Amino acid sequence: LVVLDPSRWGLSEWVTAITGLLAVLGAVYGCTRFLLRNIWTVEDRRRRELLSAFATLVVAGAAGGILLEIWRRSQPAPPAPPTLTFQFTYGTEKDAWITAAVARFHATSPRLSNGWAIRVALDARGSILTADEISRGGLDTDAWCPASSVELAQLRGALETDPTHTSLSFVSDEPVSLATSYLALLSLWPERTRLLRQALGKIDWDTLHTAYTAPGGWTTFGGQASWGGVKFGHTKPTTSNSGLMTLITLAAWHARAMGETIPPTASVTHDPRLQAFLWVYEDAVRQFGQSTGSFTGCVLSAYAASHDLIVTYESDILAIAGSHTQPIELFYPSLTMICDHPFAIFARQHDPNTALKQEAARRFRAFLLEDAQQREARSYGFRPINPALPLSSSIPGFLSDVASHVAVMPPPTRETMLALQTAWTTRYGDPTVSPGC
Amino acid sequence: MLYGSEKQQWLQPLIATFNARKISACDGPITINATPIGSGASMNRILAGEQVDIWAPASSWWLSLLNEQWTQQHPSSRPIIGSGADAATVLVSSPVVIAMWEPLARALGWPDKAIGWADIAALSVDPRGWDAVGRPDLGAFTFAHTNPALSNSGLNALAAMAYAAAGKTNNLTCQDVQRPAVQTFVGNVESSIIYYGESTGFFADQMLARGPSFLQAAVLYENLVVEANLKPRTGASAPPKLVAIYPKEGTFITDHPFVIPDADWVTPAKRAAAQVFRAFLLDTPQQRQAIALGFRPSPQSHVAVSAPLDSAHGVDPRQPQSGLGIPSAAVNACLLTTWGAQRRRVDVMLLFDRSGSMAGAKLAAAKAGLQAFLGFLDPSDAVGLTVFSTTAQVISPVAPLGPKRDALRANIEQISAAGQTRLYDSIYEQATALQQATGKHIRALIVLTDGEETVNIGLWPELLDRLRAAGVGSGTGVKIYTIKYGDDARKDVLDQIAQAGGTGSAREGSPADIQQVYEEISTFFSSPSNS
Repeated sequence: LVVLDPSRWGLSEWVTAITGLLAVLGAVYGCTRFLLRNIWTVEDRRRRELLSAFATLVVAGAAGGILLEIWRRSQPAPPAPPTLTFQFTYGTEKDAWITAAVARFHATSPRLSNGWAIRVALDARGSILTADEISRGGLDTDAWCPASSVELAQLRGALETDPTHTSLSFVSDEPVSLATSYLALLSLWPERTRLLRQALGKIDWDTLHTAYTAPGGWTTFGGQASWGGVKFGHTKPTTSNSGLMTLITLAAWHARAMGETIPPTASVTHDPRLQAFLWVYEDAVRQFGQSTGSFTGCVLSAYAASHDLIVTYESDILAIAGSHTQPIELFYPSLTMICDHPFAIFARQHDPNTALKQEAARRFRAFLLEDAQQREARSYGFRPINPALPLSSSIPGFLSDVASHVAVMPPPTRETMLALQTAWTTRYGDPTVSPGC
Repeated sequence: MLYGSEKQQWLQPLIATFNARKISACDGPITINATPIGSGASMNRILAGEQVDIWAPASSWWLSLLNEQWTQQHPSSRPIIGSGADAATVLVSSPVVIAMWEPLARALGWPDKAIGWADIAALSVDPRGWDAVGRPDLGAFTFAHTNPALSNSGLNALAAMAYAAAGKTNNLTCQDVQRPAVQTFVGNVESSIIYYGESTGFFADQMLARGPSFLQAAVLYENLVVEANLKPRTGASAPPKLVAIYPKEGTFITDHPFVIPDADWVTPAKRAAAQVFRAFLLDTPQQRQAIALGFRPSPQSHVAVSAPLDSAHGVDPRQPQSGLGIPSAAVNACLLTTWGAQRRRVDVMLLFDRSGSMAGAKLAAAKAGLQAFLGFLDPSDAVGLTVFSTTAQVISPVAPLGPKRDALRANIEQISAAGQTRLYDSIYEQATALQQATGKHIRALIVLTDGEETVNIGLWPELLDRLRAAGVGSGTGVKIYTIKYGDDARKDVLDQIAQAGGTGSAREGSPADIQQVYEEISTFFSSPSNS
C-alpha cells in the first residue's frame, strides 16, 4: 500500500522514484536513437535527435500523468454534506405518483440553502385516520398531503379544540394544492344507467334518490328482474375520505333543497328529514369499501354484482380505465366536492432541525409543482394545477371543463363532519367490508 | 393456518411448494402448517382457544361473526380481526350458485329464463314434483345445502332464501327473518333437502359420483361447478354437465379473505412470514392455478378471468348480475336460530353392534358416543335404537325423541356385549323399514360395528344390490352412515355400504374419538342449537 500511495512516501521513496523515472527516460531516449539509426534508418542526425527527444517527452508526460493520477486518487475525498431527511405523509390515492416523483427528486441531488442534501421519507396513509393520529399525538410528521382540505379542516379543528397531545403545528404559509380531482360517480353497468337516464332525464343526486326508492328496483325503469334493486356504493365514511365526502355532499344537497346554508352545519345533521334522506342512499349500499385507494379497482374486478354506481375519485376512475375491458361510464353530479391534495407543512416543537425540514419540504413541494411533475400527475388521472396542462380521457362521460358544469362545495366544519359520522355509525355500526377493498 | 376446505385442491399443493422453497422472512425458513376445515368449524376452534396465525375462511362474513363472539368472550381485549386495509386480503372469489344438472335446469327454462329461489321453493313443495314442469320421469325434487351453522355456503343459502322471501336485496333484519311468510318460504325449500353436512365440496363430489338420481341440485360455489365439469366423463352412465344457476333474486360472492389475526400470539416474525406467504398466493402463477380450478382471481392480483370460467364448464363470468347485502352478525344469529325450527327433521335408526368383541372400554366409549349423539338432536326428531349380535333386537322403534329421551338414555346404558356379528341382515332390515316410513323427514341409518359379518356371510355382495333395488341412498331414500369402530371391522365392506347408502365412505372411529364421529354425522341433519 505504501508503494502505491505517494501520499505516504518519505524522502527515500521519492529519490528512488525520481531516479527510476530518469533511468526509464534515459533508456527510452537511448533505445529510440538506436532504433532510428539501425532499424528505421533515419540518416539525418538532427532529425534523429529531435524524434528521440520527442519520444522521451511523450513517455515522460505519460509517466508523470499516471503518477499525478495515483497521487490524486490517494487524497482523501472532501467530506459529503450532511443529509437532512424529512418525513412526508400523504394519502394512499397518490401513492403511485408520489413514489415515482420522489425517485426523480432524489435523482436531482437536491440541496438546502446551507448545502445539506435532502432526502424524503415516504409515509402513505389513509387521510381520515392520519388526521386522527396526528391530533392524538400518535404520528409526528414534517409535511402532509391528504386527499382533500376536508382532512386539513378536521385536523385544524381538532388542534384548536385540544392541541395538547401533539407537538405539531401548521406553519404560517397556506397549504398549496398539488393537483385536483373531483368526487364523481362511476357506472359499472352503462346499459343500466342508460335506462335511468331515459326514465329520469339525468344521473344526479335527486334522480338517484328516486332510483333507490323505486319499489320494483331496475324493473321500474325497464331493466331486468335479475338486476335486482338499484345499488349504490362508496367507502366507509368513518375511515375513508371519499365515503365521508359522499355523506357531506348528500347532506349539502339536502340542505340546499331545504333552503338552508351550505356547507351544512352540525345542528342540521340531527334533522330527521336529513337522516331519512341520507339513509335512502346508504340503505342502497350492499357492501362498503375500506379504502378509496383500492376501492374502484376492487369493485370493478370482483364486486360488480353488488354495485351499480359508486362514488369515487375521478383520478381513480381515469387511472384504471386503460386496463379495464368492461364498459364503464363516468358521471359528475351537479353538486360535488373536490380533492385538492393540499400540501401542508408542520413545525415540530421539539425538533432542532424543524426549520431545515420546512425548507426541504418547500423545495420538494416546488418540485412537484413543476410542469414535468404535473404532467406525470396527469398520467395518473389527476388534474394539474397549471391550466395549460389540461386533462383528457376517452372514458365516456369525462368532462375536461367540469368546473363549468358542477358546483363545488367547500368542506364543512369539523363538528359537522363528526356529527355526520356519528349519525352514520349509530345506524350502520361497523359493517363488514370487502377485505382489502 | 386454518383454511376453508373448498380451497384445499388449490392450496394444498401450493403450501407444499412454498414449504419446499424454504423461504425466509425474519427467523429462518418458513413452514406453513395448514388444516382444511369448514369456515364455521374453524371459527369455533379459534373461539375455543386455538392459536391460529393465518385464517382463510370462505367469506368475510365470518370475520365479523368471529369478532362479535370474540369480544363477547374477551370483553377487555381488542377485536381479533383488525379493521385496517391490511387486516384481510381477498385470495380468490367465487359466487354462491345453485348447481343443477343441465337437463334439469333446461326443464326449468334455463338459460332463457332467469331462475331463482322462488322456483326452487315452488318445486320443493309441489306434490307433482318435476311433473309440474313436464318431466314426470324425474320424480320428486331433491336438494341440498350444507349445515349453515358450520359452513359458509349453507349460511349464504339461508340468507339468500330469506332475502328472496322478504322481497328484499339489502338490509335484511331479524324482523324479516321471523316473518311467518319468510319462515314458510324457507321451510318449503328445506322440505326438499336430502341431508345437510359440513363440507360444500362433499356435495359436489357426491353429486358427480352418483348423478341426478341421488341429488338434483345443491348450493355450491361456482368453482366447484367448474371443477366438476373438468373431470372426465366416460360411458353412457356418466352424469350430464353441471350448470351454475345464479339466483335471479341475487346472490353472494365468497371472497376467501386471508386474515392475520391481531392477537398477541402472532409474533412479528410470524406476521412477516404470513405476509410473505400471502404475497406468494397473490402472485400471478398461483392465481392462474386458481383460475384453472374455477376460482375467480383476486382483485389485488390484476390477473384476468379466463377459461375454464366459461359456458363450456357450466358457468358465466358475466354473472351474477346482482349482489345481496351482507347481513349483520345479529341477523346471521337470527337466521341460525330460526333455521333450527325450519330445517327438515330426521328419522334416524341407530344400529349398534353389541357382539362379544365390544366388551369393556370399547362398549363404554361407544355408548357415550350414542348418548352424545342424542344431545345433537331436536325433540321433534325421530330416533330409534336397534342392537345386533347373533340376532337383532329393536330396543326402541323410530319415534320422536322428546317424550322418550330419558328412557332411550337408560336403554343405551343397559346394552351389554355378547354373541356374534349379524351385520348384513340387520342393515337390510332397518334400511327397508326406514324406507317404508311415511312423511317427509330425512331418513338415516347409522351403523356402528367393530367386526366382520359372522352370521350370514353369503349375503355379500347381494346386500348392495338389495339396498340399491330398494332405492336406498338415492334421492329421498335412506342414507346409510357406517362407522368402522376399532381395527377389526372391514373398511372396504363398510365403504361400499356407505356408498350404496349415499354417504360417501365409512367413518373411522376408536374409543378415544367415537363421540366426535357421531357429532360429525349429526351435522348432516341436526341444528347447532341442540348441541
